[in-house]
Amino acid sequence: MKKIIAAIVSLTLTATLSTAVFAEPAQTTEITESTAQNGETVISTEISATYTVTIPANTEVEFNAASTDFGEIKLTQAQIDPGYEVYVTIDTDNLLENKADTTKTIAYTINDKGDSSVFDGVSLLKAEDSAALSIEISEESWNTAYAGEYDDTVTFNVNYRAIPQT
Amino acid sequence: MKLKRIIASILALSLTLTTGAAVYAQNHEIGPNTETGEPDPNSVNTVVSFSVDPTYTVTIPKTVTLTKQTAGGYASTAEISASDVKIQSNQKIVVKIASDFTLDEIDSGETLSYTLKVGDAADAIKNGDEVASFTTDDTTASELNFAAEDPTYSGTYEDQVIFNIELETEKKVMS
Repeated sequence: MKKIIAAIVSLTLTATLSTAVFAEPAQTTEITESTAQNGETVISTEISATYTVTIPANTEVEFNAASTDFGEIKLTQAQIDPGYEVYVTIDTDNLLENKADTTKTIAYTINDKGDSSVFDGVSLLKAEDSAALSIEISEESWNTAYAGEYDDTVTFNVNYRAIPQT
Repeated sequence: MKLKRIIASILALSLTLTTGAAVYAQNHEIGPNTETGEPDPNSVNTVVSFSVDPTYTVTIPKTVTLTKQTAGGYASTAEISASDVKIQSNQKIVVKIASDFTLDEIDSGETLSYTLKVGDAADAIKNGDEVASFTTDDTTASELNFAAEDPTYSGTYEDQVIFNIELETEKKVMS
């Protein structure tokens, strides 16, 4: 007989066990009602101040006109810091000078059309805030004016500042 | 004796002012400096301008009639005036006369000399002389005093006088 001897092969696979390597066990805390805690995460972003101020361009006055529109100072875009303002003022000597003879002048004022007062500055806080301006020349000034070309330069000053405490 | 007449031409000049409508250029736009947040630029210049065209009206008498004077001779006074004068500060309106200062009798051709004096001037005006001037600040009328001796012959004597109006500009003296 043949025996098939089967060999019993017993296979024994020795499983090689790879040993898991554990770091130090994480600290855990069993959260219970008495050990409940709050976790906080801070979300933050920084928004820089941004704004666009529109200033009137060069303007030609109509002869003999008592009042001429002088455009407007306007905040067309704005993200400004709380408690801050865009403050605009003007510098002018209020005299239009004859180009041929600068000693010959015509007096004028720049007025705030909102209240017809002489413009002395405007505070702009948010988009679309504005001040409409006009150029005022009296009839007497026109009557005594010499012929010729006249001009004057108006300087607009823009200041971004903390709103003054009153 | 027929009245003597000096015919002068009327010149009334009026310049119409050209008024331009207000013209707007593009506005300035100012925003913040990206690093500092301050306005950049922090100031801009805007030019305000206008133009005043010259204008004036000069009035000259159309006719001047000499009348018999008690003391003898013939005389009359006329005036050259100006209004609504608006010219440059270094300019003046000047009126000059063109005349032979001779009256002609319209039928016979006889002649009679006459004189013209301005205001209280002692000397008579000559052909081409200035008889009036005006500025923006001074529009005082000029008084013209015509005079003629008694003519030998009667008749109607006439002369046509030309008044030339010019705008003179002072020339700067270079030093």
